[in-house]
Amino acid sequence: MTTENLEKSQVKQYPFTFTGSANEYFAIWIINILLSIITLGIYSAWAKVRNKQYFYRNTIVADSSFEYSANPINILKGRIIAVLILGLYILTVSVFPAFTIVFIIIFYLLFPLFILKSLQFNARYSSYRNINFKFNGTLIDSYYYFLLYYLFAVVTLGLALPYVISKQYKFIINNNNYGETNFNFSAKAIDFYKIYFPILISTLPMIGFFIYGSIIGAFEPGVAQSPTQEIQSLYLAFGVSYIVFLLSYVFIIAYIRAKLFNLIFNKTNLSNIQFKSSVKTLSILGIMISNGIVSALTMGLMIPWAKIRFAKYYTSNLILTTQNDLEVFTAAEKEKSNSLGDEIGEVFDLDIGF
Amino acid sequence: MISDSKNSHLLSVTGNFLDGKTSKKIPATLLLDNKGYLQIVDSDDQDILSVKFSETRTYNRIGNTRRQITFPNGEIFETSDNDRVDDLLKFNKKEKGNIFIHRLEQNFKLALMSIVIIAFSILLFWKFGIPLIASIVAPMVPDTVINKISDETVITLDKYYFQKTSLNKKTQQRLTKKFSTIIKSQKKELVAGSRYKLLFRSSKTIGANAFALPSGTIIITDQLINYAKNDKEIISILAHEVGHVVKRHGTKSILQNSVVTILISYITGDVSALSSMSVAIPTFLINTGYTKNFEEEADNFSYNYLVKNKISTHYFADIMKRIEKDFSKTEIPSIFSTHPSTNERIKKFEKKRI
Repeated sequence: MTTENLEKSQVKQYPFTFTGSANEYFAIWIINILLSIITLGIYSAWAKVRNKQYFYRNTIVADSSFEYSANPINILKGRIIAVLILGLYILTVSVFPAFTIVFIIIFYLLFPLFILKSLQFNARYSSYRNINFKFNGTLIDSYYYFLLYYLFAVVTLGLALPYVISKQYKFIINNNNYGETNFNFSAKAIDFYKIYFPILISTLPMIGFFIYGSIIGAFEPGVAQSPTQEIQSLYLAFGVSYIVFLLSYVFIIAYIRAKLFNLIFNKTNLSNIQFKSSVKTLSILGIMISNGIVSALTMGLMIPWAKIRFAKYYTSNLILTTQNDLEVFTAAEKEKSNSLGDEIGEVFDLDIGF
Repeated sequence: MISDSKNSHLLSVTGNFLDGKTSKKIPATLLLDNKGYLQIVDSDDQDILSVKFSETRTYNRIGNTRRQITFPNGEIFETSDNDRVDDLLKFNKKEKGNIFIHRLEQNFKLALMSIVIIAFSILLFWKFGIPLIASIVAPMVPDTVINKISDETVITLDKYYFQKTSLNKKTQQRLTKKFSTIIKSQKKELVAGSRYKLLFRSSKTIGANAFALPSGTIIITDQLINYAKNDKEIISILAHEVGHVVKRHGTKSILQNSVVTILISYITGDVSALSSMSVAIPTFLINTGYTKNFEEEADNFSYNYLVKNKISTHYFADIMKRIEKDFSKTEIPSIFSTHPSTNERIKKFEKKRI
């Protein structure tokens, strides 16, 4: 056999599967809400871990599941801190409204720190086959990519945004480790421009609709005093343009989610492991819309069903491929866990990554 | 070393061993002996690990997802045989509560009941909880804050909606005197620190109306005064507005609206799409519901004042009916209107004729 044939015959494919079910998850979801209410919110930290664990443990590849091992106590502490900060914000701002700007500025200045903590937190407590993930990025890098680069995007009036986003994803993925092994993201800025450029083009008519609708909606109150047919048709026009705007907005979200998911997985490799992702925009759009309608109609009772649907869809379109063994990975040195970091990371749990 | 015959063991579970140092998965069997030790043996019956059961930790059961038992040095034994593990745990006192929550989640009747309990709690909280919180917090809001917010509101109103009053000084003085009478008679319920002030304005855009701001500033428009055939009619309306101040409706309203908005955004933050629409509408309806209660309370306040001061209550009904006639063209369903329908309101005011 030639080397090529040898390689080809040795490529193994491991499809992802999701083994959870809506029935099973509904009971878990609702009982945990009940317990959270009965305990006036204290149990909610445990509920969050349980909910997440259900999704992690039911995500299977190569006959092994993922595991989420966060400590609910840290999550509870984080939530209490968040509530206190929120209270402080409301109090300060009601006495000195000018302070709102101060808080906003502080938030943006601390944003890269929050992202870093969140990435570290999510990685540290995720594992596969008892090997934990790890995020190596430094604080300085985080400020570089999540503050400086954003300013750059603003300065170029958004034209550099796809470039900025490509750099950010590279930062996030390349600094993620499975044990001692680095992930590697090989996509280039042009790949991101290919995704975002069509949006730019189609946004113009969308903005047009939105402006038209806003102008109508912002009519002087004086008109409302003598309601006539005219006013009713104006409100109707505003309603229609708002709905069109909303639908386009939802479509764009589905489009970005699908394209980014594919790009991230298709261009990420972990040593000799690669991924094949075939998620479709229209499928995502269909799931999003039906989820939204059904959830709204059932006053939220179908939210667990909606979440399971997404999990099933994404995993059924994802395959792991490798020419090597999945048993070759080694664990990294155990990090000293910084509990304050954990709490900050949990509060701003941005669910980045997988 | 080949282990003792499995017959001397109380329980055995098949699964996999993951040492936490590499991603290698080793098929293994877990054995519990009658001395309280957990032993892991591989498929060749070779000993891998032997640890006291009480020194291990078993992750809580979630649905039927794989279960992990963690060993002191970070190794884990994982299995899909949850029922066996549940049996195993009966021998470890430390793991008493391990499947407690799982049992609750298995109880489908409880899950269905939870829907009712949760819906009921939400209703209770909305109807009584939030107003209660607002009642407790409202008196604690510092007067400086209340006065500042109110003063800012007057400035905004003057800028966009009000023009200078066209009432002559004599009329203003006369009405202000009658206003002071209302205030003086309410000494006991006077909101401490508030400064009652009556402001006269003209408003082409708003028309006939009166406003009460939390600080005690009450604004009445020329257009409303022009509707009055009698000073007593104006007094009945001013009493209604004073009722708003005494009962802290303004402050409570702000507090309640904030809580509702935050809660709904937090809860529905779970929904995958179209969430902004499903947040805005219920929030709007809920807030309008609270306002109706406040209007009723203010009406009652006015009613009691009139009765106490031997003023015929029909004056209130008269002016309300007169204004209603001009605006009956706009038939807004009462769910959306901030005032309860005029007919309902004035019913009891019409009954008493002194």
